[in-house]
Amino acid sequence: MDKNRVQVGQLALLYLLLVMGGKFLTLPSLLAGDVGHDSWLSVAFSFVWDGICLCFLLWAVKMNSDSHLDLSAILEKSVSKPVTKLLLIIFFVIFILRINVLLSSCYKMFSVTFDVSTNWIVYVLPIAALSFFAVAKGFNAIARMGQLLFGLILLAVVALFVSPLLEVEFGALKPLGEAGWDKILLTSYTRSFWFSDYIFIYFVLDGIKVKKTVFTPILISFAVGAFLCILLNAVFVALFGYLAPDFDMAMSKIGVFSAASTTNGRWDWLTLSIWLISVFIKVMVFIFCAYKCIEKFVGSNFVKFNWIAAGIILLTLSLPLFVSTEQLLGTVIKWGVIPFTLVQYVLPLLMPLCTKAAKRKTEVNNE
Amino acid sequence: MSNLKRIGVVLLVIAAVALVAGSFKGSDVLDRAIILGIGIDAEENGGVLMTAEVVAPGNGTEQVGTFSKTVSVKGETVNVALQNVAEVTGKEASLGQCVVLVLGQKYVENVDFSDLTEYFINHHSFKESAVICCCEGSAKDLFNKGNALTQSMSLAIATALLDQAEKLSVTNNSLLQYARSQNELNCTGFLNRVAFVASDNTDSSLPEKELGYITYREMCVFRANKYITSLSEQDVKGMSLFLPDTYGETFVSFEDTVTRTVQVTNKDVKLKAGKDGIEAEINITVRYGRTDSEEVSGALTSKNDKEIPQKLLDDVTKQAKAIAEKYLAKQIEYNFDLLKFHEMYRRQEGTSVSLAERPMSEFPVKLTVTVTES
Repeated sequence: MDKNRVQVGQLALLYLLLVMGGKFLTLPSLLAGDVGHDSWLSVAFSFVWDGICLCFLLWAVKMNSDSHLDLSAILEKSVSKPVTKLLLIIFFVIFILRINVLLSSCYKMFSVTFDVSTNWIVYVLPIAALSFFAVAKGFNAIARMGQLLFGLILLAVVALFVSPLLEVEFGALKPLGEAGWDKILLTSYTRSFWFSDYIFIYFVLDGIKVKKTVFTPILISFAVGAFLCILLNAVFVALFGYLAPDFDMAMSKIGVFSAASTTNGRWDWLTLSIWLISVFIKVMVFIFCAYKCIEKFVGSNFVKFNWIAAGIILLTLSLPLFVSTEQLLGTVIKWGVIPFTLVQYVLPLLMPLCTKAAKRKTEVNNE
Repeated sequence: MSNLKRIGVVLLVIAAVALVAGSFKGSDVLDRAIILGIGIDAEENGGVLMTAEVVAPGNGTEQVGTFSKTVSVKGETVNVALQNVAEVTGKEASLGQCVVLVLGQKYVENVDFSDLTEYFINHHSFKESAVICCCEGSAKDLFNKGNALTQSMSLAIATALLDQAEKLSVTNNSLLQYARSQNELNCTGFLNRVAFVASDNTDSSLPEKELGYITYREMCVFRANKYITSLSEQDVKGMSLFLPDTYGETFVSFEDTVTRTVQVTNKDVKLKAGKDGIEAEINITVRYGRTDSEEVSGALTSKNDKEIPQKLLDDVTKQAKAIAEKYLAKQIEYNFDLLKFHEMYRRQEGTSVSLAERPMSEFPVKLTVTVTES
């Protein structure tokens, strides 16, 4: 149990890395294709929902701080076992899809930006090996790694941002809401797959060490992450205009506006590589969560590393060999938005109630 | 864990690392023709003549600095020409470090180069921040003048247009800005025109060597990648008055026997789009210029530390207004929009076909110019 213990500060830093990792790949171009220069508003709305849900989830974390119940215990005691299993399946699907989308976007970035090509299996194997090693070592290992690399990654993101920020004319984002507010709100919902990164917190509920406050550090991280994501989207659409929907690797495109890169080499490639670490950390966290989903689903605590669970996850990572990312986004994720809403937006709102009910049941049972 | 198991794990890890490392196919820097700049000229049969400045890395440690050579190849399209560069150099053409794209005069004046713009803007390696410009004469000739500049022509053009242009009141253009200008609203944009100017060689040790420098004070205007007109140095000066980020314009005033030069040190430009047209307020701050100002063809002008007399300020105001109005008249005459008047209205009204189709004559400009001393 101890190896999955995480402090609130570590959780906050990791959460910020997760918010920043992955949203600067294909998402900005998809949003630009949907709502043009209003894409940043769509992102802002998504973060508003995220912020509300996060507050409820943190409330549940606070309530759970003295009882340390895990997700399945809370759900089983409050909403019954079958519902818990159903929710765990949805969680598993969402994590696997997000891992695959993140990995395939990075794969594309490696081949087109860095001109390094390999086959999917050889690309995925080392990442999966590292992730399973982290799973075996426990969530604390991932949190500490995030803590160590946090400063470097944040510096890289800032370095990538500074030059385009000076180039951009924010007036290009006017008039606000040109795409139509209903369309912007709808886009924010249909593209919600990329948001609600707090869902990993469900799987470390029993390991969070709450000393003083749980809200302040995590909400600060959330605010910083949300601000950077909204800013990046605004910069991206203002800078690339009609071309934004065609540029599917937002971060690598934005990076070329680093002033030093013009005649003194490609500084942006270095900072981009460092930023990519946050994407791999996100993949590791989601693989940890997918592994936990299997553990909770079968209803037993894996004391030793479970190779079968790892094998199942590894098999699902071969998905991009059969379905392209475009197909995945156009079909599975498009229709999956509704069930995903259950765990992304409905469950967090109910978590304080569920936690309270589960705690009461536990106390009654103990008595 | 027993020692045998440990050895087994270590061997397994080494084998896995070797397998993974061997499966990543990167390319060695020596197998790549790193292109610094590309020149495109028109071919008579409709294809292109591509001139690429390629970095030639030294094999030893004796060589210091950037050594480059130019390669000229023909191709039906840019892509074919790039493949031919690879064939000629025996290396894969790498565009990741390319800083400049120069289009020859015949090419820009006679060809619709939408395909070329689209090719480079969508190229994954080519930087959108790279400089795009056109040149006087052929791009091939320009690139082959690198020796006369005693430095890489690509780097010279990129440095000049990116770093110096602003201080000389010449606007610069990146591929991204240009590509957007040709596809959004009025669909007009410009390219700086680079020219090589030969200078006298006073070096007695190398009397045969050609020397010179590049100028970039003129522009060509395009609509949807088709040539419309050229802007003279005076026109560019008029245009730059409306741009708050450029400065350095000089004005010359003749009074009796004294010639005085003042230089723009600061600019405050307010452009407001209203129902009746555009209101433009230009407030420029000037100071006495250098005594050897180029504006008076190298002749010495009077330098004066005293306060600039009102008469001189009035004269500068008159001159500035005249060149600004001349430029605005040209915008209307050729219906191009480099000052982004359409964009100003788009920000108020939103994007529409009717706005994009509005001619420049429907945007009358009420111009006010004031000049003060810094």
